[in-house]
Amino acid sequence: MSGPDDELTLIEKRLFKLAPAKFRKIVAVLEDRRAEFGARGPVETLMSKMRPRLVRMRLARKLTLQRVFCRAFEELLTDAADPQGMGTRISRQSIDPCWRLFVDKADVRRLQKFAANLRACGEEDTRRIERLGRQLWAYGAEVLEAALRPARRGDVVPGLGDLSERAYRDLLFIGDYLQVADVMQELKRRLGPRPLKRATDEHIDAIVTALEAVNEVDRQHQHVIIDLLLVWLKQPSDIVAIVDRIAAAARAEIDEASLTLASESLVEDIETKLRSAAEFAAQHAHDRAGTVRQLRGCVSDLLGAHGAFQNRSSVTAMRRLEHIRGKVAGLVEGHILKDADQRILGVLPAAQAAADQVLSNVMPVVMLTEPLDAARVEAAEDQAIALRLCVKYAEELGLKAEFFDTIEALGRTIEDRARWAARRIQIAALDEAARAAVAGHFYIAVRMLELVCGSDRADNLRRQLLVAA
Amino acid sequence: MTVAARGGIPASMTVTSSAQKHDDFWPNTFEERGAVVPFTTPVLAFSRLRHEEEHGLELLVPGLAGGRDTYVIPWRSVPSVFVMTVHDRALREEIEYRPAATPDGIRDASIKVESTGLAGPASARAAKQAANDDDNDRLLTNFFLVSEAVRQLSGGKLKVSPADLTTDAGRTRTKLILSRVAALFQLTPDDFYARLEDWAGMVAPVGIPGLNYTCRLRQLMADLAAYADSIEAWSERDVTDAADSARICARIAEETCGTARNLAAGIDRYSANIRETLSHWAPSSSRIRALMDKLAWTLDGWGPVVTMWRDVDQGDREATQDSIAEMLRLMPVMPRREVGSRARKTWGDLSHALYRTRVRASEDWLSGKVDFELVLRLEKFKAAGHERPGR
Repeated sequence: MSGPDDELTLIEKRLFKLAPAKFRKIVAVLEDRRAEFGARGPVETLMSKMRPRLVRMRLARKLTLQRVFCRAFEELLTDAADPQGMGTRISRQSIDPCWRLFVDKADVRRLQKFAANLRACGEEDTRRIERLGRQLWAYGAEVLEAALRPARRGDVVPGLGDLSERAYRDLLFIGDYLQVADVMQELKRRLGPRPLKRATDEHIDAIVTALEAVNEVDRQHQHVIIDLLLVWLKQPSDIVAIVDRIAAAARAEIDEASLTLASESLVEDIETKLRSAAEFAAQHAHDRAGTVRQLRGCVSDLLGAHGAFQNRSSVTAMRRLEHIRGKVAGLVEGHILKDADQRILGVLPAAQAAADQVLSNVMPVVMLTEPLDAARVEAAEDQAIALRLCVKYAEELGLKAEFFDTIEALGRTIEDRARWAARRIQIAALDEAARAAVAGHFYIAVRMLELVCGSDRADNLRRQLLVAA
Repeated sequence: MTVAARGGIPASMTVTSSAQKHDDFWPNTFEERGAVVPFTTPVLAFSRLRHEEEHGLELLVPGLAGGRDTYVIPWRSVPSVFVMTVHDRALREEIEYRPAATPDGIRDASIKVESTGLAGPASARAAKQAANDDDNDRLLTNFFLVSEAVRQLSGGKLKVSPADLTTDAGRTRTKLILSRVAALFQLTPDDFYARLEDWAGMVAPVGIPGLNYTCRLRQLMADLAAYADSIEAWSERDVTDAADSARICARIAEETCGTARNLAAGIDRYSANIRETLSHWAPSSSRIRALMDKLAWTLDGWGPVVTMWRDVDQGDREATQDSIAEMLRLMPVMPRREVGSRARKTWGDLSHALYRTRVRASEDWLSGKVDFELVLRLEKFKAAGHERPGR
């Protein structure tokens, strides 16, 4: 039986196969009916499914004042109800309540005039729409500032109390943003298409120009530039290095608060990643490779931030970074390094100590002719992969010696055990099943050696074992 | 054009440069295109092996060092040029012992090496499962062909069911039935059965129409059709140049799928008229074998592409775009002489579009440095490539 979700998926699939003209017609019908169903109705759900194609065909969409209003900050919009992570993002769910508040507080005749001007614009009339947008944003900034001023003083403002906490925060941000919307449009143009992989001197120049313009309006709004950069950068952690370059080029234009905001955003983000990796490790004790993959983003940001912070006199930020580094190293030591040898060597038969030599040389060889224990093989594989993935961060985490010793000891032991077994096994005397089992054990030894010490060394062992077998 | 290697490539390697000439990057035959070798060393991933009369076995590595050229490396020199995974070294040796560099031969070699666990336990499990599935394809196709032969040749009066094979009485009855239908061709029951077994062995990868089980190549055809639809739909949603690349991939997949379906229909026609096929067994069997070989070559190289697309998280736009860039590098193009004159223009245009659109692939794949995560990803591909959805 199909539910509404299945039906939506079906509709979504079919919509993407429609010819552009038909798709446009459906969009037009849906938009006309949108108001009947409200902001969270089925039309809205369907529109959100269609958004990727709507973005592609942006000019074909019916232009409304609300849509022009949002164009200023559209890159900062997100579907998340309560966006988290680095920088400020605006939840799409906040658009309707914020727009309603603006409409309530605005002069009806001016809005009607804006609407009439917009109706007169053709779909391709981009320059005229852009000009109208700039006027609307300036007016929006004025109206929202007037509405928010008493609220900032602590006075009760009708309409604001109805907003959710998230919508209120987004409204404050939109108010700030619209005051510098013109500047931000120019900055976006000069930054070029998203994502920005590497900030060149021209980009830095554009950001400095934007900062100068924002400072003329209100220095408190510098955060808007940081937030925009965070959605523009391919690697948001580059933000610290960028603000450093700005500080070096035009120290007077960037306040300490903005420098701190960039570092704080980054450090908070790294802390969040670390928390989530630690939670993953606690919940998936047997997925060590998974834990390393979780830690990877955290470690690379940590290293990037460490480099960027070295020029910075922020003792607090450095202390927090050192603290995070210590915690990551602790997690790696306790979860990846500790008992790694037991888990990896557990799949390889071992000669016992000299004291019980008589028994020991028989048992491991007997074990060799038994089929592999699949669960132990999986555990060894996971452990060896975790070790291999983690080794490249060993030095930065202060664990170089520990990793080096573990890997060297493991490599030697795997080779010794495999060669020892190869010397003792009498292949010719075994039946087919036992021979297959022996081969399986040998191949596991080769695989473990490859994961831990690399392909060349492992292939040497394979050749020696092939001769023996 | 064969020129000396350049740009840090060891002198023992040669490069086929096709940057200028359209004809140079459109192979004439399947043998010239080569068969995909499922290596796990990233730089060698999806390279092709071919047998060249003058030089023997050669490996064709596309896009090495990020360029659009294809590098041709003598098979024996491969280990001295690249740091290969142990799995790949073992696979290279295994292939070398085999008589022909065909898709089926390479697949058998790969399953054998994978089963050892050298590409990890998941890959070993998947390889063993694939070997079992191949046995099932063969057994079920064989049984269905026998029962279909009995049905057709007796005019629907006689029937053999799986239950008959589980009891002595049933087996005796089956033998009796087979001897009656074998007599129609002046054959002993054993010879008649051997003929059907031979036939089933040839067509097992694609199965017989009516068989309530999807055999390997028929599954791959279905996957290929689904891939074409899915990547086409994705291209509608994307706003970047990757959308154009995706459309080229979709077109190539659609065209290949059409060719494969025609070939499969040709193979199926022989089982639709078993009397006619068995009456002219020698020419029929060689024609069936030729069609099966062509089908295997046509679909060769599509497994990794389909798996790669299935594996990608389409919610991650950038990762999806990267995957499409990789796919362009791997796209198997139908060779010039293997398509009819009407399709030749279409394929010529597609080859040209493919070459023009091919972009610098992800550096990680081509840097020559062994990126361990990529090795693991390729091992995962190998395992996933054996999967049959809905098994």
